[in-house]
Amino acid sequence: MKLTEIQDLIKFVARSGVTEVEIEQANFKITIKSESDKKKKGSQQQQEAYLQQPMQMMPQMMPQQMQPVQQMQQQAPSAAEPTKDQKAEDESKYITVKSPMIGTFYRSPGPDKDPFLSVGDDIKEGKVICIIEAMKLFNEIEAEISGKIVKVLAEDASPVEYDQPLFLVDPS
Amino acid sequence: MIGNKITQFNSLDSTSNYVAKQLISGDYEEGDVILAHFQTEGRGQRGSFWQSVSGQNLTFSFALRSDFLNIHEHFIFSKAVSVAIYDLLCKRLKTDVSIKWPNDILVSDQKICGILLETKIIDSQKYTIFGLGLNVNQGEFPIGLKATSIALQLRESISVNEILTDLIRELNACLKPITDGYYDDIEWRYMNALYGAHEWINFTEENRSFYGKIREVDNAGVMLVKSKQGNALNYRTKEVTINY
Repeated sequence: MKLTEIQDLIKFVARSGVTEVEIEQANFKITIKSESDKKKKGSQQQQEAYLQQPMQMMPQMMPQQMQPVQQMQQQAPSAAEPTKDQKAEDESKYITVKSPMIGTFYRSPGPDKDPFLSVGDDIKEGKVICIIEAMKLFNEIEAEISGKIVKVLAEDASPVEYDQPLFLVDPS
Repeated sequence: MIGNKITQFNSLDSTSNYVAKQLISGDYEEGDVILAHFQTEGRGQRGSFWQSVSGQNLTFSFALRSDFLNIHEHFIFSKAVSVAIYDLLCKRLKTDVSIKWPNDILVSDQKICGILLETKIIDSQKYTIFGLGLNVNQGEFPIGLKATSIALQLRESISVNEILTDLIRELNACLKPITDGYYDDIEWRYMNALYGAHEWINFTEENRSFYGKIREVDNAGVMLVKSKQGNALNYRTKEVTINY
């Protein structure tokens, strides 16, 4: 399967609302899972960190972003189970590193290279954490915070939106 | 200045990789040109390889500091390089030359070059590495590849070094205004040379095909298309194909 076909497939799965798709061909098997609602809620409650984001963009972005978070918080007490509350609290100390731009997210410097970062790795401010490609321009993205990678939130070689969570970082 | 120093190699894995290594080791001066007669791992978009026969074409890379550019306006570099190659070809060829969004150059509806830009952060300093491939004397291309070369268009071979000298001049003329902070002229010239900005062209989006005109390309590379039906549509690279 070609990379572009996989990307198209990921797009299709994301749009269809299906949570899991598995395709098996000769010598090839792929499973695509989309995030559950529970995870999405969790990540929206986490602290937000921006990468290379121009300051003038911030005021414009804030009002739009605040709204869904507020709604979520109102719903949370009645909907959430105690264990989930506990988990959300634990994760709230983490920082979500978000995509500064629209493009294709790459975890490694090249197709056969090791990823810049894996879970458990330490990151330092200024260190390259991923590449985002847009318009045949490959942008190395640097960390604006230091900490330890808790989770990688975007799939390698998949399209990412502006502000889409990429990594979960424990700053402590 | 681009091309104050030009280093030529018979063979390299990739000229852009070499520039990146030199930047890291501190052996690189801004604007130095690294040229290879053959690249073993010359890249098109990630994973797709640039076809080049040894010595016949021009493949080189150079880097410029790019801290002054916001991540959302990096495409201005792509516009400037496209205009530089467009200007070179217009002066050399009598055939139709146009820029195909985002940064392909078409000569008689065939591709003649490849441009790949990478931004790298080295010691907290941001650099953009420009990787260029221009078909100069290649006479044959794999079947199915809509590609051409300067020699095929001129019906005679031409000195690769002569084209290199010309291209470096055009690159300096187009990139200097950008590094000095003046974008207007390049923005205008890019639009002026753009295929589909002045005529109705055919686009394919997923399984749908439609006619439209390109109204604007911003400095993030996003294209605004007005369809013949009157709809305004925004596109990024992988969402739409321009048929030519």
